[in-house]
Amino acid sequence: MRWLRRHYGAGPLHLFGLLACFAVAAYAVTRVLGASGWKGIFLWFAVCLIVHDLIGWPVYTWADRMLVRSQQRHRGRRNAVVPWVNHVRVPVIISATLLGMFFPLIFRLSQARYVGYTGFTENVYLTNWLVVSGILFATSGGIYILRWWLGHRREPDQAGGVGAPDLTSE
Amino acid sequence: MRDSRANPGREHGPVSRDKWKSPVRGPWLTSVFGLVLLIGIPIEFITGLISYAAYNPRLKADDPNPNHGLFGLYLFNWATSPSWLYRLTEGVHVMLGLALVPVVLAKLWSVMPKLFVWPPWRSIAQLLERLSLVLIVGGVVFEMTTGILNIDYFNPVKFYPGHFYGAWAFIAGFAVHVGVKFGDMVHALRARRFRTELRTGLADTRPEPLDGGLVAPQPSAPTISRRGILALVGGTSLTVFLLTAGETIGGAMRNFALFGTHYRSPDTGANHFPVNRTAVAAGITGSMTGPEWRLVLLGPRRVSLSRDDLLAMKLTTADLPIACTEGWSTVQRWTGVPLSDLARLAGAMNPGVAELESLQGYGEITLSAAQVAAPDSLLALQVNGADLSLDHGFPARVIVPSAPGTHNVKWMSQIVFAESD
Repeated sequence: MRWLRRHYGAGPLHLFGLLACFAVAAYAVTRVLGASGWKGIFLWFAVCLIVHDLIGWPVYTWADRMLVRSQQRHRGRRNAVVPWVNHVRVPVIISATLLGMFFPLIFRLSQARYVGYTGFTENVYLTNWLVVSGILFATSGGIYILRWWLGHRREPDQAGGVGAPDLTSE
Repeated sequence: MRDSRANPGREHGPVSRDKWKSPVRGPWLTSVFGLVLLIGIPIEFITGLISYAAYNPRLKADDPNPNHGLFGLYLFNWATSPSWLYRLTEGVHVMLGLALVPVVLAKLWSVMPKLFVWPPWRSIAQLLERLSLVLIVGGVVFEMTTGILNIDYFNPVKFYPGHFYGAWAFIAGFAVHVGVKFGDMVHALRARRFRTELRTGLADTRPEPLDGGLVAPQPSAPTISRRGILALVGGTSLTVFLLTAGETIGGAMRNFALFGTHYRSPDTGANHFPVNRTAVAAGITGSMTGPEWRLVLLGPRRVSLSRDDLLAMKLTTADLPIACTEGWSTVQRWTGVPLSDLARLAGAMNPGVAELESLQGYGEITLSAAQVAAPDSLLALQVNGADLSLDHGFPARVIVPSAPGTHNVKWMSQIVFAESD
């Protein structure tokens, strides 16, 4: 037991659990090899592992830092400003999530199969996404205006301050 | 097994720890997301296994994964009662799965610094653990993408083997992760009271104590509180749910399922419910379904029935759902001849399995003995009191309680009944 801890780094249960895990995964690999299109399956798994971490992440981290930095510049100008960054972040994130999840419908990538299955076209989904996004931004903007107005009413001579102390999204 | 290497200044890896700036990232948020997934993922896995079992894959014709091997050990004869069972399990599987996507993304965001921890491992145990992350991280993204792209009719990989075998590889990594991290999760959740956190606004938001990898050593000033993050993630999940779940829940909610594939229905009147595969796409023409159409029953006897013959038989009416693997469903009132009556007509007094053939020329399905015998398993001739429309399977379709949508074969041409042994 101590030998194991010193040379392996954890107890026997840890080792057993991980070996069992890899055994199941290896068996799954053998099942996939027997299926048609197995190369595509392995390739897709690899793509999933890589793309999110090494491509998506830097892009939206950069975008978010830009957003936060531009809000900080606004605050420096001593206007009576409720922090607006979350009022942009929230609708952007929700809208982008919907786009990411339903892009084949929105961009009509599966039109032929969709028509065959449902009898309708995918043309409606772009409009649906734009309308939903519009509602999200309008709601967020409306709440921002409301909070700005409430902040102004409570302390009309305080400039650059924060009237409402917190950001809870809708 | 808590990570006690808190050496923030000594990072030489590809991304040093001070590059991570979020002041709210830390064990508490990670653990909240982790707890939600701890509940949600097993539900997804089990409803997913049920979904495969519902195909009765041990009947060879119905098995989309004939290579399943040991992963089929759990299979059982799929039930026919209650009639809404598949509608429930598959509706939960798809709609909960969609709603969990923002939570998964938030969890991945919250543990991102750990991806770049340096050195990559300090013991064999740690190396094996990090390798198992390949299964859980790659696996969850693989499962989410193959599942969602499938319901959007956009399959870059073969859905059935990919999604099924991928689930097993993923759950192996998930089990290890839960085993290793459960203690950490409980510890982190206990460190802050949830209700206090819900009352903590932006002005009071402080970073958590420095830990072994998640908390930023030099965070920026907070721009959103932890409760704000929870509201953002929860709000995104709720939005996704509201814009998709209606197409299985039905009723007024169907009109809001703007990103569902089946929230619209053709026709008005009795046939006003979503179509899955149009007659045109299936190659069905009016001439194939005219007065010369016959349903052939094969068993000990061969019987050929016209639609009028069928309408003259004793008809049963039942409210049954059509529930598809893509997650949508619709409940309608069907009228037709029970399959067990047809079996007896063909001479199979104690019916076993039945093979269904359609005018489509493909999509043959084998029904189990239990499905044939169920009193509400019908050869439907009418829906909601009117004749089936061509898109809904005229002249006759099969409808079986709690069967997946593809087993409710449309444009029937022949049924082969076996005697049970």
